[in-house]
Amino acid sequence: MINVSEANGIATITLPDCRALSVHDLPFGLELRDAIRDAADSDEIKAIVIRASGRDFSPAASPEALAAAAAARKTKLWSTWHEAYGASSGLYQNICFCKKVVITAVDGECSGAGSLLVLCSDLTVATPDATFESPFGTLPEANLVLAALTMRLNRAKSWLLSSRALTAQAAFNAGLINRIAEADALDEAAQKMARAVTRMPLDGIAMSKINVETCLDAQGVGREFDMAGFYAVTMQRCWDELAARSPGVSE
Amino acid sequence: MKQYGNPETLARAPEQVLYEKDATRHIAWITLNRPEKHNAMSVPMRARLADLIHQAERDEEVRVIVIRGNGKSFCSGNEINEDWGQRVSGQRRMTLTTANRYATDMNYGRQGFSQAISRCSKVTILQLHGYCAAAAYFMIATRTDLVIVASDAKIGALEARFLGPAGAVSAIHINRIIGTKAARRAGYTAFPFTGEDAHRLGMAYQCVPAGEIVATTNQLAEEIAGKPAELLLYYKARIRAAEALLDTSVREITGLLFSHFLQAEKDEAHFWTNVKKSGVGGALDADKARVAAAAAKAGEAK
Repeated sequence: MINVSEANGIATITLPDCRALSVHDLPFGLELRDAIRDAADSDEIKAIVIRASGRDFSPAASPEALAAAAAARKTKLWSTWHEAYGASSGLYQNICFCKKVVITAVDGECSGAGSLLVLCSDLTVATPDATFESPFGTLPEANLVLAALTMRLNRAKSWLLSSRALTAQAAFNAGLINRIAEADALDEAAQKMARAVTRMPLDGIAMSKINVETCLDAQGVGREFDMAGFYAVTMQRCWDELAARSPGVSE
Repeated sequence: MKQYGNPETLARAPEQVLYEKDATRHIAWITLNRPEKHNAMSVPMRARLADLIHQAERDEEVRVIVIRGNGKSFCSGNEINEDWGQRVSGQRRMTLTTANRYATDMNYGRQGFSQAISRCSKVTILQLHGYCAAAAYFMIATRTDLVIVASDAKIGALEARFLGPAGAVSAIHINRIIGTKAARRAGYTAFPFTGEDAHRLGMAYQCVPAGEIVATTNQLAEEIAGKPAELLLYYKARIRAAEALLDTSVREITGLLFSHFLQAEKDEAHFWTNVKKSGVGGALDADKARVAAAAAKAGEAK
């Protein structure tokens, strides 16, 4: 399901889209994590581009799928779910604290896991039609500290509370994305950014990424990731209450 | 993920880090099994240690993990005289990228074995006897939840003599667990402390005579593993959250990272040549002889 191509110092990882991540598909999460880790570990790679082959980078999961994901998560919270999504060795921390520069290329709808990938990546290019929905309503592992550092605190809070998706322009203005490119130029725009990274020395990138990790950790990003399991427990109560109120959305 | 090491160390790792499980008692044992080298851990041994911790975390039958060592010592630290794939012909010294891989992925970082222990969702108990030096001290002994120590154990940053106190003084865990003065004494003097000291400093839960350590550890493991699994997961989640808030979960790699760029003085260069020829023990003996000879010569001159 995940395709990785490597050329000229750039690893390009292509997913169908991020739906499987939004409903916490464990094998998919681990497969993507391993692809990121392998690319990060390669001395031939300086930049990693994450893109989707589908029209939308991260379509919203249905309430039924999210409820099923929450039910499945319940019994695996501190074991396999934690390993794939919550842990320091899991997917998102592997991207956020990656040893190489990570770039996301976003077209169309970007919700749930897609928005979290955008937050965790170093750089993001998006099309004018892209929309960015807050990941906090569906993903307990979403990192609000990272959002506050990226978009500024009040913008992150309003993104979380209002449930209103940001347009590409609003996301650009907020600092969530770096560049807007037309859909037919999206991949090239992401690759151009990646090529700019590859012109730098490998050890220079390593040094900067060590410092970025320290910078993020000093501001609490790691601590927020570590709380994911606790947020999952609280979120579970919401799902249980919703399920009780709406018989159609149940385990 | 690529496995680093050389053909021999990769092949031997499964027999050098053993795994046993008693499903009825809900206990798993991870045993370092390289007694001829005081259980010095090669890079593949460290990778296997992390893998086994993750395996135990996934296993619903396991509630407590006991880490221990076969032979005279628990562990003398990381194997330093090892080719794990870091050497590139023509390069005078390791690149930052390679040093970062070593420091981050193989040791301190979020993928390293030390954080696999400190972030483990199951209760970890260390059964510590004999030498517990270097990485065994600041990457295992200060990371496990409970330590049962033999009174005659020798613990500390014994590697500081030849590596400098790279991670031993600055590692956040050590400072939180034994206090800043004790951490600096261990790192800057390279003197070992005993099991009694470890207990007095707050690192060890219990200090017992060497002959009683197995029974004492088993008793504690059984007592804890007898509690409901969900309760233990809750306790560990609380501990991990508290450690996160205390920032003990952040990586402390700079010491280890930059130790790879230390410039050796002439005498120290000799030391490293001797390490390659006769191992760390042989090099330390040769160093003692060199220092004694220099002292005698200085005495004659007076």
